[in-house]
Amino acid sequence: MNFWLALTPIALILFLMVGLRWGAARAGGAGYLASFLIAALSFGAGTQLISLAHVKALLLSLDVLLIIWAAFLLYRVADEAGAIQTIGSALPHLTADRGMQALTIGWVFASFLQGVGGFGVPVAVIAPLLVGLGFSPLAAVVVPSIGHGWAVTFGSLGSSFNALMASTNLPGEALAPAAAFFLGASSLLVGWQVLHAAEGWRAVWRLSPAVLVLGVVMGAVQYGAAVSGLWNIAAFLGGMAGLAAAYPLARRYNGRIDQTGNDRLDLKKLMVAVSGYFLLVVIILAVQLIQPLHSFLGQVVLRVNFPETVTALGYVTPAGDGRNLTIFRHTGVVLLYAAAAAYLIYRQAGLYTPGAIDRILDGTLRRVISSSVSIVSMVTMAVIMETSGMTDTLARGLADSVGALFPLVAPWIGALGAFMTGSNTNSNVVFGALQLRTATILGLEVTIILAGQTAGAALASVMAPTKVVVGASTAGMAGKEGDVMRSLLIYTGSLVLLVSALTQIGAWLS
Amino acid sequence: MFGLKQWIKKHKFQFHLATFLMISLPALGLYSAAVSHQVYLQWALLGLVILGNLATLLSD
Repeated sequence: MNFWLALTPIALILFLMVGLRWGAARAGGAGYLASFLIAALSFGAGTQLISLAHVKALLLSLDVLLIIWAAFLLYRVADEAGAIQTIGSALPHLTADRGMQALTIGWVFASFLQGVGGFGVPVAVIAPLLVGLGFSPLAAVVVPSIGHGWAVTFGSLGSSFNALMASTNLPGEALAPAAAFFLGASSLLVGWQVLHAAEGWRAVWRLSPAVLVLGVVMGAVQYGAAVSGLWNIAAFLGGMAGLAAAYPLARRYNGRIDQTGNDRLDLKKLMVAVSGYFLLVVIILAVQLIQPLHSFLGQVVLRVNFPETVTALGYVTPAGDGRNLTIFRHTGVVLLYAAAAAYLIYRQAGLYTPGAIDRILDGTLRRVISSSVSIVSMVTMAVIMETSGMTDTLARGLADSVGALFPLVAPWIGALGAFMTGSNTNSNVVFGALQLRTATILGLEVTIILAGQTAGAALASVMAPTKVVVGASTAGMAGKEGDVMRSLLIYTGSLVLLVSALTQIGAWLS
Repeated sequence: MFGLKQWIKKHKFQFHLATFLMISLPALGLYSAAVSHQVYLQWALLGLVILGNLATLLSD
């Protein structure tokens, strides 16, 4: 009975979002209210426990929201200056080969955009570009949708990965290697799928060497960055490396390029556009690697000590610190430094029209406020479930029913979470603690299971209804979202299947 | 009810901002209320959070 009650808030969110097509903010509120009632009435959570759960949830939410807010601000700074459009429109100049165009724009550039922006930006930016290049509207939506999925966890400047760290309280150094490996391995299959979706099997055979080179380069760079502690820019660096590798490859598969008149590539403009992101890398590397600066910025830490809590049923949450926030070295704040510096450069280059700063701030606020509501609601729900013993009850039930096959199931739980909540971040928040607890009960290596969780969520997040609707509308496919979903289902399903197998193998080997 | 929903639809941003503040700000006071066992204050603040989450149910 308690298992089904514990499952209710999660099942309710799933039903409301998928069944009734509610938005994440609305469904998150319902999930929160359900968890509150069930924790208080059936799991013996007292007033103090619930109050402290709210405080812990606020800290966790802040940790994630700071990054989301700042990442989108940086994106708006670049977009308002026309930098995203400049970079995007430069790519077709590299090659006239349609398969290579699909790879460089729909896979590599989509991954780069996911690294710096996310939030549905890759599909929204790339789908119209591909339609303009003559791809069918369906392919124009499907190609970037599949193309950016592998970069979601370490994309959006690491917000999903930070959410996983926050919800499990495990260090990034422990979580990064397996997650980066699973996603890197998936990126190869993503490359072949992009070709298949764009040009069919013949292009898959013809351009397999290019997929191998780009997949290995992007996957390896993302892996190297993630395991070196640079998880916030791991997908971004992977995308950058992919763009660098795509240049000679595009020349190899050249086709015929028309570079006359107004269509000529403006290198100077391109360099200015890229400079904002180059600054981002410089600032993040400086904060991470210059020790005196690292220490100086780490002096102000927000730390809250929580007392032990016990439910009426005897479930104990030990005393300890909540999420520590190193204010001036927090990824979100570092992104703010980068956004300010990028703004100054673009302004100096005369890329802004009057009123740009107002449009940037207004656009950022309007874009992030709804997702901020859903994140606070869902994080609070997850913490109430965690501290009241609901997550533990769920984990024990899962461990009993699935047992040794849990590694096969874990990525599908992550995928389901991303599909229903529309984001890898939300899935990690809702299911991170559950996966950790279940893995611990079953004696499995938690980092492998959590890698399966976040990789499954990342790859499936691309077919969340909200993302599909955005993508379809930008490519003139509004009203035909069902066609996009059907097409994505096969590609995404096989990717999650791959992660499922990798998680099982990883669990056997560890 | 219909009028309220129309108003929310028209002022989506302001509505989401208000609900965001309602569900996040009370937590600032909840820590000291919880550790000093001020039950009424805790319920007053939790009431605000509940109200904010109830309000989200009215959004689209």
